[in-house]
Amino acid sequence: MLTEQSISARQVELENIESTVSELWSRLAQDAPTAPMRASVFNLVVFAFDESDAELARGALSKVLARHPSRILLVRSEPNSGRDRIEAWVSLLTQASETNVTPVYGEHITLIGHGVTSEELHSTVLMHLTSEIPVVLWWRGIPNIESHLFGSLVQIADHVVVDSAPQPDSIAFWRMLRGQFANANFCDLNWARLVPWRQLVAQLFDHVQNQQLLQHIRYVNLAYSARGDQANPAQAFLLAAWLATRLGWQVTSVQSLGMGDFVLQFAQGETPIEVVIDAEERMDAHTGRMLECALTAEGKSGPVEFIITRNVREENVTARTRNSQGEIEYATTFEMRDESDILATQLDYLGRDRVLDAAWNLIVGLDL
Amino acid sequence: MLETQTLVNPLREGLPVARSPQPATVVIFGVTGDLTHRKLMPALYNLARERYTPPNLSIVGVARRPKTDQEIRDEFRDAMNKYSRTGGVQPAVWESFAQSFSYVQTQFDDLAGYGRLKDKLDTIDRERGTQGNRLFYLATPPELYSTIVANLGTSGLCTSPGWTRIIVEKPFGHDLASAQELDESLHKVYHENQIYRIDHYLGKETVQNVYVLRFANGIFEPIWNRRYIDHVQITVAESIGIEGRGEYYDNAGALRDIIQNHMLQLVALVAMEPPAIFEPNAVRDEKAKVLRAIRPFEPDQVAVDTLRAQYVAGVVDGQPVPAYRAEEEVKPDSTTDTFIAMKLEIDNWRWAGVPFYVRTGKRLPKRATEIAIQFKLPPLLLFGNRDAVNIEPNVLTINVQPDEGVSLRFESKIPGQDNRMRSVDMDFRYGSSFGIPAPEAYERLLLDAMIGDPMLFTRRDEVQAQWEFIQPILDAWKANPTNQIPTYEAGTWGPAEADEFMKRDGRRWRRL
Repeated sequence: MLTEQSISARQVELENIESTVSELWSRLAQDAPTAPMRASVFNLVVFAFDESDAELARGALSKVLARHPSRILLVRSEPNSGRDRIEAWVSLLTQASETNVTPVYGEHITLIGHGVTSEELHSTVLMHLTSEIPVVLWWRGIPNIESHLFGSLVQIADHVVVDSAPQPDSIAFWRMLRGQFANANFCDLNWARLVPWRQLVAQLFDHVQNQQLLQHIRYVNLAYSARGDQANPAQAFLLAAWLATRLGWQVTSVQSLGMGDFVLQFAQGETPIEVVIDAEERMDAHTGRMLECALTAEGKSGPVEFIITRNVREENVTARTRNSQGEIEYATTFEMRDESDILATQLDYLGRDRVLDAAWNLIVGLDL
Repeated sequence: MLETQTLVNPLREGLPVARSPQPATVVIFGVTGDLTHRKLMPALYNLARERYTPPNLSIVGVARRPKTDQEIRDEFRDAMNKYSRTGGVQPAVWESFAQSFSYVQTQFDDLAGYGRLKDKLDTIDRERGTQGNRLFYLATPPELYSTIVANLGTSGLCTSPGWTRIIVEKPFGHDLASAQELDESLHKVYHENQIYRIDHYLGKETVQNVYVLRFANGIFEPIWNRRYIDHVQITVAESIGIEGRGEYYDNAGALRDIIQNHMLQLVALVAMEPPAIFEPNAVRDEKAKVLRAIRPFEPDQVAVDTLRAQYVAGVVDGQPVPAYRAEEEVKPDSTTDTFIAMKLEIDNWRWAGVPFYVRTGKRLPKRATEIAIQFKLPPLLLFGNRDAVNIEPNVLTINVQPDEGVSLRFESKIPGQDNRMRSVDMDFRYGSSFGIPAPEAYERLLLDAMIGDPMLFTRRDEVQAQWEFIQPILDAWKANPTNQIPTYEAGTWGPAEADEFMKRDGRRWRRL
């Protein structure tokens, strides 16, 4: 269990940010039972879209900090609130767990831009980055891709974290990001949420005999949760694109059937492969989350099915392999990881995700 | 069939788990024993739970007592609740995992039992698609190894349509002769690349980090030698006693239990040359080379450069504990060593003249394993005279357990008008700094054995070199038997003689 203790959050003038940080460290050194350790693996710039989102962000950061000690710059933009100014707050965040001996400390600087300065916050961020370590930008919510602030912060960042889950039109979102920021290194939390699915599917094909069937997949069904008219097929599209790009399938057509259902036709040489994306009405799952992935391959003795089904209530998945000789079934965990878990894990890898790049490129090229 | 199959699963690219073993059957001989309950089953369960192992991994337990498949499953469920690092099982996952177990009862010298085992494995291959891949784990007392291995050979279980590997637990023999005998019996049936000798220390995250520390940082290797290092101290301290293993321990002692394997492997990791490539045999070549370079003891040197002792009653962590001789199954006049201290010299260009001081013991004040590299003092003291200024040498410490990490001690100026100095520890703890629980050593080792990566397992020439170093000590003790052994009070850092041992060289043991 983690506990968080914020040390002396205080408002300061911009020119006093760094001296205040130093002062807080000195105070900590006097008060802490052991000499505090200052370690930073990256600068984490977090854009929160309003005050309550900033609070949510702070809560999420505790797990990130525990895994990646870092300097955190929490940035908020208030273009319509009063005179032009930038407010600054400084604190030290500490994480201590029951098993760890030494708590982890991280510097936390909050910058709130009011009026026109809200669009120039990047210049203040730039002044307070710890030198020579990567800059990760986590843009929460739905970015205004046209905004000067977003563009400027993306330019500064080595790694940009976004989330296609809340976007009203994920495909358009990806298209815009790719179009405007082709060289930026993006991570999509919605893609990170798919890691357990990708691992489960990959694992089915680690088996030598099954691996030979990868080139004989003919049909894929991807079911995701929808609620009323809220159908976000982002995860399903990502999974479909992942399979296609890993296995060398070429898109031949895509058809929207309405209500969040789609049919994508691929070809592998002359051989057609059909991918069906189904929106399933579910009240017990977050909208847009994958529910089932079923692949059917042509085996020598008939069709072979690989089916992974998420059991929402039990928080596990059942994986089944079915062929002419019978069926093997097993259950494995499917932890409901929250945003901070997903982010913390995702930030283990700051390099360019070529697999995501390929998937996005396929999706943005679809005629939808 | 010999090793190895290299698969390229295109779906694995970009995933955190880049490598996954083939479906296989793990056959555990001695499945009802303590090791299986405390370590092996929790490790296999956690690997399955975290999706490191394939869904059709199967487990067959082999032991002498009659049990049904369900009884063994229930036993393991209880063990999981007690010993798994994740605390208990998830019911749905457990049910699925437990379906992969079955049990074969046999005496280990009964060939018919191996026939039944073979039938069982063939059935599993057909029903669960394990393709003839088999990993045999000898979790039995070591005196049974030769019998089991021979019977595996005779019954045809040493080969299969897939790969076949065998894991052998330490101790690898009782002395050099028995180690060679065990080795020969293994090689009558298996090729070296099928044999995986476990030293579970090598599965520990921090031990693996020694490679990274040494070879992924440009600053250490240039000073990692006799020109800059004064000495190396390695401590493997345990606060526990022999935990009911009197029968084994009284015949083994600290020399065989820790020094012959774990300690010498730690020495090898610290002292080895960088391998040309980071590949199992290249790494193990370097380890074997440096183990062979450790200067063997002449008979009259043993008494000078080794020290053994035995604990008497004392208090550990507030609790009174009995003397070693009062422990169960320990002879009342036993002279078995529960504490060893030793000074090693390595005769190569890198280490000539740099002593390696190693110590290990039971019932010491705390559990701690650390490697401390103490550097030489600067050639000239610029800040006042040496008597007035208490300058401490730089020490790079690798803490293996309990709080894994690395620390560096250096001198720093105390703020003020004069040049007073103090030592500062720059302390980086993996566990607390990165907040990520490390996998258990057995999880890593079992996974590597299933994948076919022998990097973290010891090779026959390493074991041979280790025994060749230890044997002269055993011979010297045998040639000079004694019914007196220095003692130390449980809860202290060893006998007074251990301090003298270091003092005579102008050094002292680190206070942990």
